[in-house]
Amino acid sequence: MVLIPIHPQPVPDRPDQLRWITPGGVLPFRGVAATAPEPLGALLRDGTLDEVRVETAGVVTTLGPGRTWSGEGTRVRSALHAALADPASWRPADVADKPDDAPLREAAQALLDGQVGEFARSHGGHIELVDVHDGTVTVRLGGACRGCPASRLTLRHRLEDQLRRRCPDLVAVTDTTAPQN
Amino acid sequence: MDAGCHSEGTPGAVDTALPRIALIGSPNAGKTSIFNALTGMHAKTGNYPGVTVSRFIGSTRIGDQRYVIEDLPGTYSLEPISPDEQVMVDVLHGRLDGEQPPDALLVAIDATTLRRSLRFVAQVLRLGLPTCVMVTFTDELSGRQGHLDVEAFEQALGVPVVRVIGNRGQGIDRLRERIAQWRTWSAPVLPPPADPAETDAWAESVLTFAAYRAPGRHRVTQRVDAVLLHPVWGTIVFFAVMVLFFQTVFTIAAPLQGYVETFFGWLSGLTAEHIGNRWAAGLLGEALLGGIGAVLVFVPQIVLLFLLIALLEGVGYMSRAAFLMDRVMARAGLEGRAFVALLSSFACAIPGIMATRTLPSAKDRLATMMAAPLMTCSARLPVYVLLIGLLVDPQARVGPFGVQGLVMFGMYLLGAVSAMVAAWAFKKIGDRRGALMPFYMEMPPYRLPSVRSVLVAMGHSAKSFLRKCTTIIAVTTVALWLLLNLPLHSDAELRAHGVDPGDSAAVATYVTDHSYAADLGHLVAPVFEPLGFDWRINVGVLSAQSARETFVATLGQVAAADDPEQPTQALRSMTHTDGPHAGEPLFTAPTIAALLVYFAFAMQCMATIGVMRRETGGWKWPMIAFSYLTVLAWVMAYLARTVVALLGG
Amino acid sequence: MVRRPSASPHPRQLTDDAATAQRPAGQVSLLADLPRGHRATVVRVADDAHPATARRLEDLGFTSGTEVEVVRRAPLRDPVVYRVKDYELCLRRAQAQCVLIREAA
Repeated sequence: MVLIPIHPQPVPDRPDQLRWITPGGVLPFRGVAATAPEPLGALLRDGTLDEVRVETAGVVTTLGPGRTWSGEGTRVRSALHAALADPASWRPADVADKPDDAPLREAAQALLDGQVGEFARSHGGHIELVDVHDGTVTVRLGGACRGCPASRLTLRHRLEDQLRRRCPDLVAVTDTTAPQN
Repeated sequence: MDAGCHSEGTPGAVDTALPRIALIGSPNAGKTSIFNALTGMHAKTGNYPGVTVSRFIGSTRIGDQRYVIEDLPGTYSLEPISPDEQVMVDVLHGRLDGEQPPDALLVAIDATTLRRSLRFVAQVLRLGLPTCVMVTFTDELSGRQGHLDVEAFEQALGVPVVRVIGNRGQGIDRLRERIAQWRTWSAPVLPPPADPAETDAWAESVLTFAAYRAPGRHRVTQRVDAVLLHPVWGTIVFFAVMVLFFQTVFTIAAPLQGYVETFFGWLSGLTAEHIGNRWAAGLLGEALLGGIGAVLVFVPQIVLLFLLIALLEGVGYMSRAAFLMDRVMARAGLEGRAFVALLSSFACAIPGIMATRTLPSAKDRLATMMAAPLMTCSARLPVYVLLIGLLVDPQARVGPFGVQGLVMFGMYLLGAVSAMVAAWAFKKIGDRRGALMPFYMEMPPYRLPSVRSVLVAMGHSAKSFLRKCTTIIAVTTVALWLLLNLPLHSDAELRAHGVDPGDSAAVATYVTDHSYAADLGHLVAPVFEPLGFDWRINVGVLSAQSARETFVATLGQVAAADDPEQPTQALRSMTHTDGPHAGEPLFTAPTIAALLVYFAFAMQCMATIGVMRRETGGWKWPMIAFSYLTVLAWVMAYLARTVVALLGG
Repeated sequence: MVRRPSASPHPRQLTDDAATAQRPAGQVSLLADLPRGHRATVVRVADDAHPATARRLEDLGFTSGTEVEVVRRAPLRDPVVYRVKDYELCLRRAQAQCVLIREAA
């Protein structure tokens, strides 16, 4: 059985939390999970975990009071692997979060003003933000980048990687550059 | 070796206060280049306790703090499947007597094999020690259209990651800075999983986060391997490389050795001139200087062989050679890598025995070491030339081939075949107790080794040979000289026996004939009589114990030859002095055959014994080798004698 | 501890069929029988393999779901160079017989 790739990252200022980076789109919703398949559900019920929250490309687990990751980490990981194999059995706590686009917009603009934009300019092109909506960032490329499919792909990936690291909630970066004829 | 080794390597420092850093990683990840770059040539070597695995510990100074750095053997896993690997794991856990676990770990991983290496990294991180990851060959990764975001990789792993390009020395300074901060290295928020499936999932996730793009095939390697590993072309190229290997040794090392011999000859001539007392001149000039000279004369050959081996290994050709020869080696119970060790022994058994380090199985190492002395080394050549010259008419031919050449070829073949049989026998004896180790061998891409790492590898080997063999060679040379030149004879004594003290050749013959060595020769005569040797041949054989080629000169002296280096005529006219064959020629065909075969099998090189002792960490195995080879030599010589006598009618 | 799926039919039986019969893609076979140039996915290391061999093979990259390709054979048919997890290594037949694979269609 091939397991879904996940690895843990610390959450700044929250030693009781772990963000498990997962591929995007594994689970059908975003937000706090009310129920999850066994044995993850069992961990929620017995107080090992206080909360399990689903993000676009990650799951944030919060430890119950008095627990430590050195004590529970292995069990949580194994339980999470098992639970991710059965995405249909996850249930959201309430209506799924509406993603807040403001931090995403800020981060995207900062990158375009900064290293990603510079990278484009150094190759004789430019990149601009068109829209940010529901976790999707839309950009348009111009100059030398416009006609070259390879550079467009590189640029898009670069922006996506950097953005996702800052905002794990990112769904996708799309490119509305009109193809050069 | 215990903790005491630290204090020897770091003079003037309290070892327990020095931080100990251990370097680990897989065999082709460039770990040793980094170790050399950090510690220079100042690595102390020895063995790990209880196993025949060398231990490399050095030190480095960063700022005003000294660090002890240990280069652990390359490995693919921290789950041991052999006693050698168990020892390494014991070092990491501080389970060796008197030792603590290392203070920090440096893990070397090859950026082009990250997918496989992460499993190893997971095992290392689970140890819970402060760890820093060194990613090597990132330049090659880019060159092969791969990619790695090192910062993201660092974030995903949770430990510091340093990019090091070992063969160009790049990143070493940054590495040294990181080492200095070892107490503040970050640790992963959660240790990586132990379960294999979870580990694979963890690895894939980390690689995705780090935007890893695996390298494409290495073009050069693909193209070159298409030839080098081709069933026909590859084998041809292989033999060509081997011939070139030897050609280089004989063409370059031989003249260098000649210079050393000439120099020491000149030195001892000088002492003979300036020291009146004949005996004192001899002791200083021939014995002591001769002893030192006997050691140094090895050096050109050994250094050159090790240079070639290090080059071939560094480039990556060794694994190809082992791949081609594995099936053949498997017949003797060994594996492909043993071929290189045995092949080197055709020049000299010493680098051959030291080359057994590349064999992962301790049993393979021992079996190969026991077999290496049987390979026809270059020291046997002068003896063979002399004896074949006595045995065979230079004009004799069989078809297009000269018989002399054929016999020489036959001796080489005898050496190779008996080595294979010996290896098989020792492997069989050893295997009764343990399970066979699985065979696997990485085929790394062809890479240009750094000049520094090749020179350091060569330097280390030469240094360790000198350190451990100088004593034994020098002592043997001096001892034998004493045996051959004592007791002393005054001039009056000489004249009384009809020897002119001014005639140095006659004096030499007289001294030899009445020396303690001659007494020994007479003593062991009954043992060697069935082989057809008389006491004079015995003296020659005895002197060959320090170095085989001295057999020629000693025999020349005994035979009172005009030129001891070319004694053929004198030897032909030698006759038995007493016993049932008195008056008959000494060097009959059966006797010569017996002598040839005796030299093929007997272990007569003290340097080899010294190296074996160093590699196995004790006297047991060298003594076993010495015993079995001496007995074998006698038996085979007797067989040869009988066969030749029968053939002769 | 390592979790292994329940024991499968004795893998050694496969060699008799695999050598002569046609192998439909999707059938489990031995790495040792994979012809040169072919690709396959590792199912797992055989249950009856010596534990040391099994562990080492997994550490070398022969884990469930990994792609493996046969690169070349030695002049005397053994050992064989395989490409797995982005690198190349050679195994003898005895070790390759311990790896169960499913050939790509």
